[in-house]
Amino acid sequence: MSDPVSRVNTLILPFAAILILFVVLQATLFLRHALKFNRKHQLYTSAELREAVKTSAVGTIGPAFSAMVVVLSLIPIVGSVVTFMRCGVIGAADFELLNANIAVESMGLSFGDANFTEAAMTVALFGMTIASAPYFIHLLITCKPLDKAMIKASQKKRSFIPMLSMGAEMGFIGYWALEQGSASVPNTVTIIVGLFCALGVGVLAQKSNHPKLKEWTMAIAMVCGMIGGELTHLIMN
Amino acid sequence: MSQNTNTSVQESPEVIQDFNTTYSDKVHVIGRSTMVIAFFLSFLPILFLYFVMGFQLPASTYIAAAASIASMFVGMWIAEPFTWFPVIGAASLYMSYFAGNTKNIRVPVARSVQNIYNVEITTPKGQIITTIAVAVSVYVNLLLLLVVVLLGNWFIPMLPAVVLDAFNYVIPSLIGALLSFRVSKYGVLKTLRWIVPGVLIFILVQTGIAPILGRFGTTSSIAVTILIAYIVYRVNGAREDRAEQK
Repeated sequence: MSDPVSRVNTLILPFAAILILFVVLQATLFLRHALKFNRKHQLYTSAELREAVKTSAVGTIGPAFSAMVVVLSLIPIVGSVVTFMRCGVIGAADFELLNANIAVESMGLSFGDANFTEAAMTVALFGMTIASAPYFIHLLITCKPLDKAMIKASQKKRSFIPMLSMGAEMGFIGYWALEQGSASVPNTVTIIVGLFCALGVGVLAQKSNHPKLKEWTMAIAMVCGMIGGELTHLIMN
Repeated sequence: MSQNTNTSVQESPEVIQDFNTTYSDKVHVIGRSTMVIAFFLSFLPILFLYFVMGFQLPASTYIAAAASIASMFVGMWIAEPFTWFPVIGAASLYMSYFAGNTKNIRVPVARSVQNIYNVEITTPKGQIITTIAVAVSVYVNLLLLLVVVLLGNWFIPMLPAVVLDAFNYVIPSLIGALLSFRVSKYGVLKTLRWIVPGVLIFILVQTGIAPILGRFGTTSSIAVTILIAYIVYRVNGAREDRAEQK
């Protein structure tokens, strides 16, 4: 890591801390609001909420960890404070790395250059930030009207919202599956193994006397998929 | 609205009314206010470095960087939030676009709890459990990130190469799991038919028949699938109306 990058990281540490704390604050506000509503109307028992928390925590670890290898490759380039700030806020690590490089290359520079200054690093940081900023504006404008529309639609005898949800999700996942699957044979095998493992866990949870098994669907599917993919990779090589 | 099969209370009209008014209004108060503050906080380090520390380059440099990035991501900026809104709901969407990692962490976690409790995002129960799950995922992800940033260079090299390699396959296995949620609910054929538009768009992009779609493949796939879903919805609706009239 060059001196200018290191210097910028030191200077922005207080801002990074504030931003990350604000992410935690926002999540806490929403969590509190949801729990208050649940307490009032008793939609879920405490046991059910605990299980949801466990499922969420376990389901987060795998994908979060898979991004960490990219996070580690980002640290020597843009520094640990910038990495933590950007990856903890909005960005996936590979997205941030891409945007940092685009911003720097638009100046005709690269991170390792001898003439890479603090000013260039500021532009890199700007690039990472501007890549995510439009989402904030988008949500400010559209989220509430969309929500009101969804509430209105859900009150109709026949609502389009479930099909909209299916269409949006499958339109994205279908294309994503093809992009990932076509990249390599191990990827294809992984998708298939993940799919069948998740289905298998669901069936097992239903038929056995262990319905709680369903909470581990994502984690089991991920681990089995990863093993399947890696085994395929090893066999092919 | 779908029937829930878990052991908890079913939503009464009063619950739904309270959710659709008081609860929902406050979600947007929290969401909008935090997103405005977050927007300014995101740019604050840059403004500090530029104006206070004097690390200045011409405005044209910033414009060029912004233009390069915009040309690549404008499609995603417009389409992505619309894609995930009907899957995770408003509160989770605000959190996801602030804390990041929407498609690879927040959506899988949200769909996982929705699947376990057999709830739809259009219901208060669906929204509440999704909000709780996504909030927890924000905490866990930040904690992991902190650990890796501080200690990653020490412990990650200790992991066997085969384990590190295996993490390359997390995303494909997530995709398989996400597909399984729909397959288990609707069946293989009814799920896979919704992938057909994505397949066609993918083929058009990959074969170069429609190079214009190149950068907007995902966006196009989503848009076309939603359009087809709407046509099917209207056709089924008309069919049901005719059946009722008989």
